[in-house]
Amino acid sequence: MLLKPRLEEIRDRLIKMAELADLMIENAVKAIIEHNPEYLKVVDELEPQVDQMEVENETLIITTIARFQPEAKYLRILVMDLFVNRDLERIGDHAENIKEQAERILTKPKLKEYVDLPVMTDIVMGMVKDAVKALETLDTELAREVIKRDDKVDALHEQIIRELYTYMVEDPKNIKVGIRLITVSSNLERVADIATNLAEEVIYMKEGKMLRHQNLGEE
Amino acid sequence: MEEKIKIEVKNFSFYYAGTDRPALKNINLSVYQNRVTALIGPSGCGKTTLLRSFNRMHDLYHGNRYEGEILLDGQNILSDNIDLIELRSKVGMVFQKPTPFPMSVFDNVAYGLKLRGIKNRSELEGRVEKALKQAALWEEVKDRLKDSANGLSGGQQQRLVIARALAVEPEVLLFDEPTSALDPISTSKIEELVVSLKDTVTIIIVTHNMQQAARVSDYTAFMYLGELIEFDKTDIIFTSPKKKLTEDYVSGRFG
Repeated sequence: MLLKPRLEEIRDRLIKMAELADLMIENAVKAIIEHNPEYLKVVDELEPQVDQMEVENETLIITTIARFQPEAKYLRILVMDLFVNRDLERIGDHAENIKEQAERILTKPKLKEYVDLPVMTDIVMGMVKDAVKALETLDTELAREVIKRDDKVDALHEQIIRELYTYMVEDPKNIKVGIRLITVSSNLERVADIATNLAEEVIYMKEGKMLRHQNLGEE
Repeated sequence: MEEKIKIEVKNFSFYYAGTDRPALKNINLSVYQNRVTALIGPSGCGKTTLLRSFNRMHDLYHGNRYEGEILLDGQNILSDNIDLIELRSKVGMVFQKPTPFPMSVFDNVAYGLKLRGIKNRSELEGRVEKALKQAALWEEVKDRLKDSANGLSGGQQQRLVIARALAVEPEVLLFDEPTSALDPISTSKIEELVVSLKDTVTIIIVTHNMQQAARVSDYTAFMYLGELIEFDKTDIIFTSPKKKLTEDYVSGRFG
């Protein structure tokens, strides 16, 4: 079947793109946590690569749909590939947002030792990595597990906001950095949402079930 | 990637015997080496007429007339001093219906080689095996090489015919609706075969099945009423063709 090698090529490209987007997030947050702007260079380097991959992948997916007129499973995979492609590019955009905040945060001394931020980053990165792993093998069990982790990220995001409030209330000088750190946390929370989308897309590819806007419990 | 031109069609027109109305009007087209080029268009658009010009099949009927040039590696194959036997061994053809000769599987593939004077048994055996392997048929027939080719299924016969064409090591293979007489599974095998063969030969395929052209070809030429309307990469023809006529045809609005 002539379509199969094409599907494999697309999947390989998406996985490669996910690795780059992952690296962008990792380095953007690491710059803040370790208070070291060196890590931001990686983000700048990778951003145009991820953007270019998005355009190339999109063209490849659209031409594949046009040329093979896929049905059922293959149609689901290719349409979801389009979504996955866009989702991964958005992860890159969030990394870019975090980087911009980091540049400003790093001009000031560290507000505090970060406790929740590294924990949240670990969970978010784990979600993205597992969502991509699920995509590789269409492992819907792993995909469902990823979706469940999103609540933890939301809770940590709330926790970070609450804590930074106290710093800002205590001393208005902390507001500048405090607000930027909240923005970083918001961006990470969005990345977790995207990982959730990726997982939902994997489930649709494999099972044809649309899970968007409903809780797993309602399945 | 830089493409190498294998065949260049220049200001080419074609007239069937007894008519002054050209069946092909001033065609200009480049066929790239080691690529699959598909000719598509509605019935009567001239795609088969063009295909048959590439190995001068029209010469079989008296009074047919070519105008312009078709350059194969720079040499005009329409000129009078072309040796047609040699041309047709360089430019092989596979037809719509499988056309095995009424002889054994082995002799079918060895036929062209024997015509060329190859008599050495071990050389014949080697080249027959190689051609059958290239045509993805070897595994299915290796234990029945002496059986009659007529006992093979339609899809196997078509691959046998392809093996026969490949045995004489052509540079170009022309496919005229190669799967229209075959079931879906045989069709998919032939399509895979076409794609795999482009490593060794340049391929031109005529098909009324537009999806087949989309699946197998690297370049697509859309023809209409004897004219070449648009030629481009298949990716482009099927996603964003430049001419409205092409867009209408590939989106199924006519034909």
